[in-house]
Amino acid sequence: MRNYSTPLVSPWRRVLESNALGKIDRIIWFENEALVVSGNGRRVRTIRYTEGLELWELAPPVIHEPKHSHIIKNHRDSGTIHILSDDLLWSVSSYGEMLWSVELPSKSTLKNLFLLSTSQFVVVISLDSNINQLIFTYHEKVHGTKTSSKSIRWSLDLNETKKSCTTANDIFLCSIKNHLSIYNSPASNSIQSTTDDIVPEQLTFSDSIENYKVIYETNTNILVLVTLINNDKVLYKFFRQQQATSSDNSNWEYIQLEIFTKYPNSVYSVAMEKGNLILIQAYATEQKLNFQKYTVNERSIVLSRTYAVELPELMGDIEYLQYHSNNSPLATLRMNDGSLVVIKFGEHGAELILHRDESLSAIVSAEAFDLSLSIGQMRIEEEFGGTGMLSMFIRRITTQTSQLISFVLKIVDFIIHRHKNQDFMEKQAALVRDEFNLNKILVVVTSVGKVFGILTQSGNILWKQFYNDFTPFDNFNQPSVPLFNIRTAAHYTHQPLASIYSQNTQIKTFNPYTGDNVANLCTTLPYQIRRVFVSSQIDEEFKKVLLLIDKKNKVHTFPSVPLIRALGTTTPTYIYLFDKTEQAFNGYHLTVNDNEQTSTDLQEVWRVVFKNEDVVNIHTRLSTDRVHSNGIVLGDRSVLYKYVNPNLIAVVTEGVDYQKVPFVNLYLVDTVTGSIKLARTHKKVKPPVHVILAENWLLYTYYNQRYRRYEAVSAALFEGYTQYNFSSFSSFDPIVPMTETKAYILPYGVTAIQVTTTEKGITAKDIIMATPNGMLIEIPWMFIDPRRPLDMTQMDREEGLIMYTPELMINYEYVINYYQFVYNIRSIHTMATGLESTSAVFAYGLDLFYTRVFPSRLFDQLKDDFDFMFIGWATIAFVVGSYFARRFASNYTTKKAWK
Amino acid sequence: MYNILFIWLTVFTVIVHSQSSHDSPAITSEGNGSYKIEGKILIPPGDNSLETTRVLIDDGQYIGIPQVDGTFVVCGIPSGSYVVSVVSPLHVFEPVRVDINVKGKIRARKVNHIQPGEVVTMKYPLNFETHGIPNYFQKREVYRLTDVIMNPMFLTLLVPLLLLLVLPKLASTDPEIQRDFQQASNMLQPNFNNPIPDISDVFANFLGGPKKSKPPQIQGGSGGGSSTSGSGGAVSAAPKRKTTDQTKRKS
Repeated sequence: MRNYSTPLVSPWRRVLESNALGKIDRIIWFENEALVVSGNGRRVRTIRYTEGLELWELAPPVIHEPKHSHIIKNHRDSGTIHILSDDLLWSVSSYGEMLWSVELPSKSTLKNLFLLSTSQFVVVISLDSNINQLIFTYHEKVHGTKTSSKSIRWSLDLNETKKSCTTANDIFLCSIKNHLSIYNSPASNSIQSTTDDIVPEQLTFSDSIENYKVIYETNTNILVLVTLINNDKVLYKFFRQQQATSSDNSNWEYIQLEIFTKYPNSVYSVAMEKGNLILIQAYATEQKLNFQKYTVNERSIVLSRTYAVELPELMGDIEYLQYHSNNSPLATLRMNDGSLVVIKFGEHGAELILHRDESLSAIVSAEAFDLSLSIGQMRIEEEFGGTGMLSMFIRRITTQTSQLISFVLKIVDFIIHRHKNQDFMEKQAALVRDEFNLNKILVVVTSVGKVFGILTQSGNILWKQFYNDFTPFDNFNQPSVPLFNIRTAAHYTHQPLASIYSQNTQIKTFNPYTGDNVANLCTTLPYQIRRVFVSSQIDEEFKKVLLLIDKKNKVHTFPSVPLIRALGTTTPTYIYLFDKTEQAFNGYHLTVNDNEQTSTDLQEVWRVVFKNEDVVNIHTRLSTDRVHSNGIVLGDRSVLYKYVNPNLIAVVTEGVDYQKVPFVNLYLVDTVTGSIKLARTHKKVKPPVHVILAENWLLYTYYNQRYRRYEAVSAALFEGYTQYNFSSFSSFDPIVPMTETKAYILPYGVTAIQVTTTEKGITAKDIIMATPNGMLIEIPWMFIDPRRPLDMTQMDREEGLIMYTPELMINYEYVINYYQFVYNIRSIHTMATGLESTSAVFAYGLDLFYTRVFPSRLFDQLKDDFDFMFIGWATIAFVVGSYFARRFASNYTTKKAWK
Repeated sequence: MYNILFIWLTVFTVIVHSQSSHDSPAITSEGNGSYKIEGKILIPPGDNSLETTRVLIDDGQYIGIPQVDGTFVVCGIPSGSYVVSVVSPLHVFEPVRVDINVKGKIRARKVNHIQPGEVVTMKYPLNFETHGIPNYFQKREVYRLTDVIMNPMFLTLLVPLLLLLVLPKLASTDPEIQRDFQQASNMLQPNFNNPIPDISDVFANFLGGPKKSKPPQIQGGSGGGSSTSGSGGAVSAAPKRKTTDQTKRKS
């Protein structure tokens, strides 16, 4: 993500794979390069600090999909890294050499969990849940050969072991209730020894252990911080007897250090500073960060200084702290709201030197809000209205005079003050709707519960609001937060409103221009929300009414108004719900008996069940989708009518057929009647399937495994050459739509896809496609039109169709982000502007990108480089010329007359 | 409950050559082993666009980072067929298909989406040469005089104008045609002048208004003749004489 307001300049950036392989397990920092282990120990690469280029990369000789990994740096030999990745143990040296790799015995009940290194051995600690034993297997350090193993009885199960045990240097730690067991284990033997010489030392506490953490480990020192359930904190310092230099017989000794202050969510970090061991304790209180700096001495711990830093906003608790003290002491923190904060400690106290909202890379929903009208524009709105002729007249006259006065005052103000308050004026102007309504406020909700208001013209963050306890809905394994525009800026006496919904039954309503909460509209509902719909009706305060369906299929309204008001009276309301456990779509009819009723049960009218295939996604049309014309004029001047059904949804399912061939199905389901209007099946196809449903057409993309290429299929539905009912559409009309389908080969993969939207839908619709290579491509609809003919006829030529070619040729001119490549785009949001030709595009994912596109070129606006001077001078020249021409002409005629 | 009508239609219209529907026999879809794909990116010296260059294998299933000299290695790839593409905002590179068989033998060939089975082998280790800077921008339209002159609108205006100028000259030599032309122009003249006001007249009226309105004032005998308007002068000459006669008679 790129946040323009913070002064961080990253000299380079490397984006790894967006799949499991790119997930970083551990980074080990060396002098000039960083060693990055990613994909659960599947790959090791080193990246140079100077320009971010690679030095070397290695992968183990066996490929598998590991679930668990443990990576350690050998403490006796800091250039060696040992990686345990499920059943594989391998070692690399820091200069890019694969030292050895060993495949460990694979058994379903045997799980290899931890690694530790001694001077001669690498020890794998694995749990055999079948015989309840914890096995220590010794591998020789230089060649990796297995030398011996020991086992002890074990009572914990796999998850408990993973959670409560860890290794530090060459000791193995495990917490059980109020004991911390220390297996100073492998110390003893290189000799082939039998079992049971692994006897743990136990530390016993007054209360159960909440958690413990190894906060510092070197060859001679280990610091372990234990937190008890009652929030007591105990620090243990382990140190090694120095007398036995390199032999394994040196045992660790430990001492207990002072118990600190009781802050429930404090975090710790330790670093060496000028020969002293410094421990930093940090905790957040409201909008403040507190730091305590301790010096850890041989047998005591001394508080040396405290710091406090005011934060610019509420960020929640600290998730992670790292203290560095190389040149100047710095602390890097990650906060609950996804912020990255860097604090500098100086002589005069601590100061915040960097703050980045990293949560912007985890946007789950985005909505654009029109900016509010300026006062002048509002007055124009005020002009109209009134009842009697006289009152209307007076109203117009008064408002127009006041407009005139304010205009004069503005000019006077401009002349007097000039540049004095220009900054302020510019800031104000940024928040006022421009002439063509091109600039907007983007309200984005992130998965951590932080909501941002972003100005589209600059990308600046206007406001932020952090909702601490906000959990997104789960929409087919993707987090999603429903975000609704409840009241627009048009009702200017009331502030505009937006609402977001969380899974934990919370509704938050805020003003999209300021981010301020509206207290009386933020509540916790007494029921669990299953789905939220926005109704077309508004209440007395011009707020849109939302229909909430709870887990018991009861319909509620928010704000609470009688249902009869929330539903349109003219058309019956149908609602569909998807049941994940049964893989079924249910359609319901909403009926209201009583006038004052605010909630009702749903009546099922249809049901579509999918068997042997799983629904993986549901796509609906954009709420902003506009259909301008009902048909297409063909070459012979006849009209082909579009089948524009607003009730359609696209359902993508996945499955494996009886021949074990994977397939993907796609259905268009009418949500009023439950009938299927279109069904397509594709065999040997790999998801993800990206779908757009707009107007009367559908476009989807997938990876064809058979031909190893990405393909896009477009399909359009038509009613035919006659229209069943030209005035309105009903799902109950007996129309069987005709379909036209074409498939195209895409040159790149697809990560997100969307269609442009314009105000009236007159402009052609283009497809915006985000590709894994970082481009955003605008593909004209003409190219993916399912009516592209296989052989051109005169009629097709007359209509302007292009001949079908399977390959979509993508020109670099269609790339809308030019040199600014954006990676891992998850979704694209398009919005209409006040100009019919212009559609705004906001792509989000790891990076954010916003631009405007003109699918049919700029037909309603002059070009940027339009030469006003030239036109002006030409007009003047014509006027002057005509004047002189007239004189010359009259002279000429007089002379002629005198002849 | 509700009858569902499944409309199964023909699925595909992508035209694929019948020969090409066979995959390379040596390659299995289930990959195993761990191999590496190597290559070199050749960009002109002094160009530091290597820092923004990425190596994508199968559209980001595996991602490689180039080294200082432009070489790259992507490790841990099971046998199979992959499209290796080098992506940079500043350079265009052609993608290459790399096949790794179960024994670990690697061959590189041209990417052909229409006929995936076709083999046009390429060099391995891969060499990616830049095909220049991608052209993201359309050329801005520049104002040129030839554009204006060759504009059809301009031509339609120009041709009648030329005819108007040239035709009378041609006709003036022959008296008979001249007469015909005169007649024709007389026929045209009233239509032209009277019902539709001439645009130059309107402008001249608008700009040189006071001067044109002088002649009627002169008729009233208030001022001297205007020198500029010849016709006005001719008209005003007569009444002036009349007034002098009247004064003479009175005297």
